[in-house]
Amino acid sequence: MTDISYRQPVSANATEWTVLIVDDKPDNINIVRTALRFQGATVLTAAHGQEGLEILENNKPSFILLDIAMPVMDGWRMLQHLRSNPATSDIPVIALTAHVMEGDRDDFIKAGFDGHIGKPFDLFTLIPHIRESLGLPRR
Amino acid sequence: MTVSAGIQSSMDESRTLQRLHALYRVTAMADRPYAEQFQSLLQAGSELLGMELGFISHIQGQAYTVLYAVSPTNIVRPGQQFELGQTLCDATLRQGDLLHYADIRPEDYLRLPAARELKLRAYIGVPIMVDGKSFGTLNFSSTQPHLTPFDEADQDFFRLIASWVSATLERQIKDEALRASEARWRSLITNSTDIIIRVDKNYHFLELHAPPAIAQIFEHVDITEFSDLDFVLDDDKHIVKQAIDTSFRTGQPQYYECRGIDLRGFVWYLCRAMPIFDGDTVVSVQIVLSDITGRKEAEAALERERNLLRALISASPDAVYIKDRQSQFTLANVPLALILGQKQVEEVLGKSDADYQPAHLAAQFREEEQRVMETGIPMLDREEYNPPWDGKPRWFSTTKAPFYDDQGQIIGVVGITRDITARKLTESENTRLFETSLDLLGSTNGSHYVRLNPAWERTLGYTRDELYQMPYLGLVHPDDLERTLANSIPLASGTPIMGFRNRLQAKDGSWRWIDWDVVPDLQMGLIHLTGRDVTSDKLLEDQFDIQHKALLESESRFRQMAETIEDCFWMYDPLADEMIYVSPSYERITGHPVSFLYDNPNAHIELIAPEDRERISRLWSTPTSVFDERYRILRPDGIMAWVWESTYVACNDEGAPYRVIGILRDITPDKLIEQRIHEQNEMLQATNHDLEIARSQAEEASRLKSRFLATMSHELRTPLNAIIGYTQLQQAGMAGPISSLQEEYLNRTLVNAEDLLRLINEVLDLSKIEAGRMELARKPFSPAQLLQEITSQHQVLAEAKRLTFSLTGPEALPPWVIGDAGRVKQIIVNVVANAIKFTEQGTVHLQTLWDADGWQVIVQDSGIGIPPEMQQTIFDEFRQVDGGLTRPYGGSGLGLSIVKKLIRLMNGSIQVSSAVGQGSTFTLSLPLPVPQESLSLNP
Repeated sequence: MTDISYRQPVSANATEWTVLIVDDKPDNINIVRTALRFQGATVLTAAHGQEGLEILENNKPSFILLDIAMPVMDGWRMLQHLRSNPATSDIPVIALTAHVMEGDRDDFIKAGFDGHIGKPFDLFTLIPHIRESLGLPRR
Repeated sequence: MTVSAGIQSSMDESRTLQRLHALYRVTAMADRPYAEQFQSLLQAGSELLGMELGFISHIQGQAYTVLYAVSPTNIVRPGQQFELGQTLCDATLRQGDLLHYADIRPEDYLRLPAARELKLRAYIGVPIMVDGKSFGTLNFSSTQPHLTPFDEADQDFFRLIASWVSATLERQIKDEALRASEARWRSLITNSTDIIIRVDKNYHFLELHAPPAIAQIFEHVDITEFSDLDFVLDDDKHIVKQAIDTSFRTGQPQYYECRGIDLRGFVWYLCRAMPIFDGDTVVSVQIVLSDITGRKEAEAALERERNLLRALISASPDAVYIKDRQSQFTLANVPLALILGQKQVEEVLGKSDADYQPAHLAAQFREEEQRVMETGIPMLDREEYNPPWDGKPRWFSTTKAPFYDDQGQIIGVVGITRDITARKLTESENTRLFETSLDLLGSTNGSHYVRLNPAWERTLGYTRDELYQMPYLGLVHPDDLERTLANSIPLASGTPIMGFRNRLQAKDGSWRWIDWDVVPDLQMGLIHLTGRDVTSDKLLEDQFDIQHKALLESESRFRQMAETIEDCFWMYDPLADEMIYVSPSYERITGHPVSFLYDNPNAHIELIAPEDRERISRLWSTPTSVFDERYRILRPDGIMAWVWESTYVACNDEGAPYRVIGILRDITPDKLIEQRIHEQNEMLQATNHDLEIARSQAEEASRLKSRFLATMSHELRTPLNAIIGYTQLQQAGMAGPISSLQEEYLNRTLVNAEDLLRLINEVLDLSKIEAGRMELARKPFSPAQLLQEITSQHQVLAEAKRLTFSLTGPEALPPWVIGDAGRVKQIIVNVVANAIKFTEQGTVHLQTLWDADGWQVIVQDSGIGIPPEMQQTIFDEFRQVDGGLTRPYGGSGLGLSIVKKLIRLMNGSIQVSSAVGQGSTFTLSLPLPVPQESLSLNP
C-alpha cells in the first residue's frame, strides 16, 4: 500500500529486529514489548516524542511503533522531526494508536507513516500486521 | 292352548270360505261396468271385515281423490278430495304395505289426527300399484274397534282384494286410454285434409283415405296402382316412390316435398313415408301427403319480404340492426359493422356491443334495450357521444324500437343509428363562436330577446336571464328610440340593416354605444343581432371634439366622467386665473371642499408638506406644459397623504395657453405598501443575519460533537487495549503457565472486552450517522471476494453450532463495484452473525445475485423467527425479538439499527420476512455502481 523502497530494509527475521516503541501509556508499552520480545526482537521504549528523538540520536531501530496522543511531543511532530533528519528519515514508522475514526487511517499514510495499527489491537495478529506494514510476508 | 287353537283354526276356515265366496261373486262380474265392480267389492269388503267405511283413493301430487266409497253416513263420497297431510291414507302410502290398527285409542289421536276427525277406532289399508306406480289406497275403517287384531288371514285376504283392485284398475285405465286414442285417430282421419295411402313393396294400394277435394278427382277411377296417383304431378311421382323404397329398405320414416294437383290447381305436399312393421319386417308403408301449399306460399312471400328488407337495410346509409333479447346482433348492415370498427357484417352477428364498445357504454345500451323490450316503448333519436375508435370523436343519433315475432311477442329490438358527427361538429363550432364572441350576438322575436351570447353580460352588466325578461328595446336611450324603431319597417320586409348605431343603458347606468348589424329571418319570425360595443371609440371621438372643436360644449359630458372617477379632475383658466372645474374627489383626497380651490386657485400650494413645498412650487412656476410629480400633502385631520398630480396645458388656435387640465390621485396606499415592503426587507435581512449566525453556531456545535466523538473513541479504546492486551499475553503463555480454570476466565474476560469494544464501535457509528458525519468511501472492491471473506470468517461459528452454512451465487456478481467495502462488510456481517446467533439448528444460507436494483444479498435462516409485530421494530435501537429486559442472545441491539441507517445512506433497502419458529429471511439491496472500466480490472 505504501511505496517503501526509500525506507531502510527490515529483516524478515524478527530476532534481528530492534524496535522503538514510543507511547505514554506504560501498559501499552508493556504489552507490545512483551509480544515483540517473545518473537526475539530487541525493544527500546520512550514515553513521548521528545524522548523518542533522543533515543534515535544513539540508536537506529529497524522500525518505530509510534503512538500519536502523547504529552511533550505527540506522534505527528515526532514523525516530522525524524523525517526531516536525513539520519532518521528512512526508518519505517508504524502508527499504533487509538485514533481509528473514519479517515484517520488515510491521514496517517498521507502524513508519511508506513502503516497504521488501531487500538485495541489483537495481540495474535499484531506481528502479522507489523510485517504487512513493512512489506514483509505475514508469515 | 291347543283346544283354543283348534277352535280358532276352524273359525278361520269358515271365515276364509265366506270371504272367498264373496270375492268370487265380485270377480264374476267382469263384464259389468267398472264402477259397479268396485262398488260391489267395497260393499263385500265392508261386510266381511265388519268395518262400515271403505273407499278407494287416487293420489295426485299432495292430494287424493275418493274414487269409489261405501259410507253409511255418506261422510265420504266419491269425488271428494283431501290433502294428504297426516291422513291414514298417507301413512299407508309411506308404509308401502298393509297398515292396520285394530283398536285406535283416544290417546293415539295425537299422532293420528285424521282418525280423530272421523272418530275412527279401527283402520286397515293397503297401497295400490298400477303399472308399477303408486296409484292410491284401498282402505276400510270403523268408528268401533275391530273385534280381534287383524291376523295373518285377515291380512292375506285384504292383500288379495287389493291385488284384484290393482288389476282391475289397470285394465280400466288401459281400456279408457285405448278408447280415447281410437276416438282421437278416428276424428283425425275423418277431418284430415291429408291423403293417407298404405302400399306394399310393389306399390299396390292396401288402403287409401282422401279428403273430399281429392276424392272428387278420382271418384270414378278405381285406383289400385301407384302409377294412377294422378293427384301427384308426374314429374314428382318418383319422389314418392323413392320415399316408399327407402322406408322399406331402412325401416326409417322419410320426408320429402312434392308437387300435386287438386281442384285449386297446383299444390305442394309434404310426403311422409312411415314404415309399418310386423315384428322386425316392414310389411307396408303408409304415406301421408299433407298439403303445405299455404306454407310454401307463405315461405316464398316471407323470402321475398326478407330480400326486400335486406336490400333496404343494406342500401341504408344509416346503421340498421336487429338485436335479440340478449342484445346480440341477429341482423346488421355494413354501416353498423363500420361503426363497430369491423369490415364484414358477418363479424358482428352473434356479438354484442360489449365485444366492441367500452363496458359502460355497452351496459348503457343494453339497459336501454331492455327497457324498450320491457315497456314496448321505442326510444327515439337519442343522441349519444361515442369515444372514438380511430382517434376521432363521434356523435350518433339512435332510435330503438321493439321487434315482434308472429305471436306478437317482443323478441328483440330493431335499431337505427345515424352518424351525426359532421352536424355536431358544425353545431359545436357555431356554439363555440357564439359563446366566445366579443361581439353581442343574439336574436329577438320583436318583443323579447330569445337568445343572447355571454358578450351581452360583459357589455351591459345584466345577466342573460334578466335580459330575457326585459322588453326588447327597453334599454335603448330615449334619444335613440325613435331612430331605432324606424328600422322595423325595412326589417319587416326582409331588408337587413347594417352599421346602425345606438345607445343601450348598462346595469350601472352608463350608456354603451353599440354598432349593430341586424338581419331579419322572416321564416323563423326572428331578428338576428350582431352588435359591437364602440363606447370607448365614441369617447375618443368626443375627446377629439373637446380639443379641436367645441371644448366648452363638451364640458357637461366631461364633468359626468370626471365625477365618476376616484381621481380628482380639475380645469384651470390661466388667463383669468380662475378654477373652472374641480371634481368632488378633491375633498376625499385633500380633506378640503372644492370651494377651497374655487375661492383661491393657488390655495393648493399651502397644503403641500413643507418637505415638498419648495420643489413643487418651483415646478409650478416653471413655464412647462408637462407636470408629473409625487408629493405629500397635509390634510386638515393631521394625516399626511401621498398624491400624484399630472397636468396638461391645452392651447388655443393661436398657440396661447387656454386651459390647464390636471389629475390628482391619492397614492397613499401604494406608498404604505412600498414602505411595508421596505420594512420587511430590512427584517428579512436581519433574519438572514441571525440565520447565518445560527448556522455557524450549528456548524461549530457539529464540529465540537465530532471532536468529542473522536476523543471519546480514543479514550475508551486506550484502556480497552490494555485489558485485551494483558489478557492475550496471559492466554499466549507469555506470563507463565496458567491453569485451565484461569484459561477459561481469561477467555471470558476477552469475550466481554470484545463485546465492549463492539458496543463502543456501534455507539460511535450511530452517533456519527446521526451527526451526519458518516462518510462513505467510494472505492472499487470485489463483492464476491467480500462475501467469501465473510463466509470463511463465519464458517467456524456456524460449525460450532452444528449449522449448515452455505453461500450461493457470487459467481454472478460483477468483478468490481464501487462503494465502502468496510461498511458493506459491516452490514452483511451483522445480518449473517444475527442469523447464526438466532438459529439453534438447521441452516443459514447466504445467497447473492445481481439484478436491475444492483447487488442483492439474501440471508435465510431456520432460526427462532420474528413475530410480525416485531418485524419493523427490530431495526430500532436497543431492540431484540424477546423485547424484554433480558437479552438471552447478548448483543447491544444496535446492530440492525446501524445496518438500516448505513443501507439508507447507500440508498439501498433491507427487508425482512419471517415466521415464528420457521426462520427469517433478510433481503439486502445495495445499488452500488459498477465502474466503467470494470471489464479491464482483475479482481
